Amino acid sequence: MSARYSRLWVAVLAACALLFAIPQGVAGPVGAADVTVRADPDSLFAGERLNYLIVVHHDGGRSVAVDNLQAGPSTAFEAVRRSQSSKRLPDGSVELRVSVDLATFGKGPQRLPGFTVVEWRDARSKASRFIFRPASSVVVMAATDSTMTQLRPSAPPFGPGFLPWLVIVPVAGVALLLAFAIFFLLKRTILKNSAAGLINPSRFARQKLRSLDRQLSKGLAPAEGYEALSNILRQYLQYQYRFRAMEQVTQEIADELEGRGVRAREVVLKLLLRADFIKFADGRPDIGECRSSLKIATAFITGTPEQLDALAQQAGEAPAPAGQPVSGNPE
Amino acid sequence: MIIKQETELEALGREIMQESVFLDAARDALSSRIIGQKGVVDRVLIALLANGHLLLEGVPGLAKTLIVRTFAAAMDLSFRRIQFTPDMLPADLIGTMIYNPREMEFHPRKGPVFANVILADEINRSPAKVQSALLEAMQEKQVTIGDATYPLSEPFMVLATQNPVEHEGTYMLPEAQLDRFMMKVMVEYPSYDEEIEIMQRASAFGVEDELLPVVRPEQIFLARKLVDRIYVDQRVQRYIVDLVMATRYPDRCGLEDLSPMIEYGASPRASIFMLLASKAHAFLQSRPYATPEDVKSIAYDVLRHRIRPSYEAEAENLKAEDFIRNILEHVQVP
Repeated sequence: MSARYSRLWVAVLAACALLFAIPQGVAGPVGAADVTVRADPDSLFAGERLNYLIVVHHDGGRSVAVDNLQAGPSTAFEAVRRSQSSKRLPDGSVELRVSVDLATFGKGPQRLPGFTVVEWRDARSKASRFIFRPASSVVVMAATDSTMTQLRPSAPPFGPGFLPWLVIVPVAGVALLLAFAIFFLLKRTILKNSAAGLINPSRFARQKLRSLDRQLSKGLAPAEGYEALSNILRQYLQYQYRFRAMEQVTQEIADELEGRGVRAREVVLKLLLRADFIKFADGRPDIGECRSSLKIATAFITGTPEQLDALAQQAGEAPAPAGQPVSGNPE
Repeated sequence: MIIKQETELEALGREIMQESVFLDAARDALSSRIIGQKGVVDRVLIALLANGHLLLEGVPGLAKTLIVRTFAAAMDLSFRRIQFTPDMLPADLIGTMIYNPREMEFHPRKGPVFANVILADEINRSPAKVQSALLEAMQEKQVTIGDATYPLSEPFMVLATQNPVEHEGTYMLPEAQLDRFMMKVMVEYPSYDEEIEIMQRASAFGVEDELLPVVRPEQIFLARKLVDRIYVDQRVQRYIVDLVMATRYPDRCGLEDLSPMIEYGASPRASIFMLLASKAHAFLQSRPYATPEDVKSIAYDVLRHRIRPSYEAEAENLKAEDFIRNILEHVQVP
C-alpha cells in the first residue's frame, strides 16, 4: 500500500515538475491543429512588455491563420508588435509561429488573451473559426497607478527620489524667506522698543539733573548750567512725548506741548525761554537762580498729576478742562 | 560792535523799541492797501533793514507789484518800475550816452535803475544780458555809463518779481545771479476771507486816497545801524553754518537719502544773508539778540533759491523746500 502511494506521489511530483519546467506553456487541439501558447516572463510590472508566442501545428493540407487577438473582455493587454513565420517540418506537417509583444496593465493575475484560429482548405471552401482561450495567466505588479493605460517608458526620466524634491525645495525656500522676514521684523521691533520703551525718560532725566546739581556744587558756571538744563529738559520732552524737541525751537516746543495738553507746560516754557536768553543774549544768571530752576525742572519731571496741577497754578496756567488727560510723570 | 553785557543789551533793546515804531506805521500803511500777505510784507521789511534785495515769485495777480509800489510810497523813497521784456537791452536799464549837437558832446542819460526802490517786474522775461546788467548794479551799487561810473542812491533796493519758470516765455535766472538776492519769497494765494475782502475792495467805486509816506529814509538808516548791533551768539552762528553745511553735505547730519537729491547746496553768501536776515527778524520782534527761532523763520526764504535739486529729485517731484524742511528737522537746535 505504501509503495503504491509512494509511486503515486512520485508521479504527481513529476507532473508538477514538468508543468513548472515549461512555465505558462499551454497546449491543446483546435480543430485539426494543435495550438501551443507561451508567455515570457510570467510576472512583470505594469507597463512592461510581455512576449506572447502562439505556435499552431497542423498537417499541411490546409491553410491556418491566427486572428482577432484579445478576443475576450480583458483590457489588461495591448498588442504593440506582431510577427509571424511558418515552416514545413520534415514529416510534411507545418508549424505557424506568431510572436506578439503585449504591453501589460492592471494589477494581479491577468489571464492571457485569447485569439481565433482560422482554417480553410482552399479558396472555395468555407473557413472554420475556433476560439482559443488559454487558461494560464501572468502576474502583473503595479509599480504605478493601476488605472494607468499608457505605455511605461523604457527608462524613467527622473530618479524615483526626485519628485519629492520638487515640493521640498520651494517649500523650504518660502520657509527660509519667511524666517528672514520674521527675524528682521523682530529685530526692528526690539530695537525700537529698546530705544523708546525700555529707557525711562523720567529716570534718565533725574539722573542727569542730579549730576548737573553735583557739577554746580563743584563750580560749574551758572550759564553753562542753564544750557545743560535746557538740553536735559528738551531731551526729556523728546523721549517722554515723542517729538523732535532737540531739533525744535522754543516756540515749536510750546506748540507741541499745547497740542498734547501737557500740564505745567508754562513752567517748562518759562525755563526754556530763560535758558534761551542766557544762551543767546549772553545772560549771566547767579547760582541761586540756576539751582531754583533745577528744582522746578525736577518737580516737572517727577511730579504726579496733582503736583503738576499745583505747579501749573503757581505759573498762572489755566486749569485743564474736565476729561482732558493730564500728563504726569509718576515712576 | 558786539555787546556782551546784559545791561548793554537791555539798553539796545530799549533803543530798538523806540526806533522800530516806524515799522508799525509802515505795516499799517501797507495793510491799508494790501489784504493779507503779511509774511511777504515782513520779508520786504527784513530785506530793507538788512540792505538786501528780494525776489518775489508767484503766479500773476497776487499783488506782487502792488506790494512793492505801496512799500516804496510808504517809505518816501524814489521808485521806478521796470517791466522786463524779451526785447529789452541793458541800456534801457542803466542808461546810455546821448549826443548833444548843440554842445557837440555826449551826455549820459541815466536809466531807470537810478532810484531807491526798483521794481524789476517779471525779471525772468528778459534775456540773461539784461538780468546781468541789473544784478551787477545790485552787487556793486554803482553803474558805469560810457567812461564814467555813477554811484546809485542809498538806500538802493531791488524787488524783483517773477512768474514760475514753467510759464511760457520765461528765462530761468542763472544761479550766480539768483545768489545775489537775499531772499526768494513765494507769494501764495490769499485765504478765503482775504479773497472776499479783496473782491469787495476792488469792486468799490471811488478814487483811493493817495498813500502818504510814513517813513523817512534817515529812519531806515538808523534802523540799519541798530540791526547791525544786534547780538548773535556763537551758538546761533554755528547753527546757521550747520544748516548751510547740511545743504552741501546732508550725509554728515544723518540725511544720507538727501545726498543724491541735491546737485549743489547753498553758497557762503547764504550764511551771510541768513545772519543778516536773522538780525533783521529779531529787530522786527524788537529783540536785541537773535535766536534760532529767527534763523528758522527766514531759513526757507534764504535757502530755497540756493539749493539745486538733482535730476533724481526732479523726477520724484521734490523741491528745495522739501530738503530745507528735512534739514531743519534734523539739525540740532543749540
